[in-house]
Amino acid sequence: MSSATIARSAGIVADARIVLQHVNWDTYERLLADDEGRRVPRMTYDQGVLELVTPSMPHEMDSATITRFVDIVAAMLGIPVRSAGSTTFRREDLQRGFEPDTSFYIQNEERIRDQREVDLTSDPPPDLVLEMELSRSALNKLALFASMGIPEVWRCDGQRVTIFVLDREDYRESSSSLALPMVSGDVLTRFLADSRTMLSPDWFQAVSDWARERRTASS
Amino acid sequence: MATTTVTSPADQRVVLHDVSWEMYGRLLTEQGDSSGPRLTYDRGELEILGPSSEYEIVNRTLALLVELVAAEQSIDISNVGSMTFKRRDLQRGFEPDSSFYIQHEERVRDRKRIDASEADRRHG
Repeated sequence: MSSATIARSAGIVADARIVLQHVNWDTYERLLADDEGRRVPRMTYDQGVLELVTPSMPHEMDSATITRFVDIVAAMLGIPVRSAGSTTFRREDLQRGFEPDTSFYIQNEERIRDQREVDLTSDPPPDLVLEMELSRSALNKLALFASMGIPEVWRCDGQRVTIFVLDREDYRESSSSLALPMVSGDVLTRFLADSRTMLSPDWFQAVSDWARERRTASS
Repeated sequence: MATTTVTSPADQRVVLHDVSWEMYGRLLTEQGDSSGPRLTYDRGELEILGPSSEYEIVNRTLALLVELVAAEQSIDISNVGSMTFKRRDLQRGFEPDSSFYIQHEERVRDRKRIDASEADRRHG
């Protein structure tokens, strides 16, 4: 089917975003279960509203770059990280669920280290979530993340990365990360920009060098 | 790279795979009569389309043209818009941008509402 080809093509330059109203929780859960191999569209559910997003290629590339950045920095600094990718996190009691662009357990890495599944009624939410926002979501994602107690969100508009940390019930912008305190929004923004112009081995080396300097400085 | 914070004017199209007939029916019911996204189902594939405003303008213009020509020619037509047509036996369903009963106008004339399940039964 040609439409399926278009929606699945890696070449699309803009995110495709659809919002369905009046969807009940049971429908959402069945949709999650229907296609076990589903990677796209990403689903976000917020009290009856279901948003479906098929990410564009720039969206996926930036998301992969930031994931790689976290992996390199954490490895260089000897910080254990469990990358949870776009795992579905949901809480029926809140009638909310989401699939982040990428997510990490860092402070709580040990608590979920041996687990194959995460149940948010007993397990902690991810410590860090990346939200690519190349186009405006119909949902208030930060309110959703706050209700689920996500301590830290990195939001990227395709150019800038902004760090938000949870302060009681709201997020406030923060110059540096909670999970990786040596990382600032400016550093992320700079390495994201570099990733567009540098060859990947050079970029990898530059990030490693930067992290090594931080390690030396702190020890 | 351009960063957009406004809703893209382009049509938004998302495809879900391995969707059951029952799930398709559920989503149709939950969407009700809202003029929200259009759903097309084809044996497990569900396409959800959110039309752009330009798309809707062209659609309405063409529908109006059909109505004007019909009125001018004194042809009775029934504009049923983007109602849902589905056939379980074929495992297919769609919501056209616009649709008309023309040759069969008389058969639907007195109905206040053409139910998708009625259409289903009639064909099935």
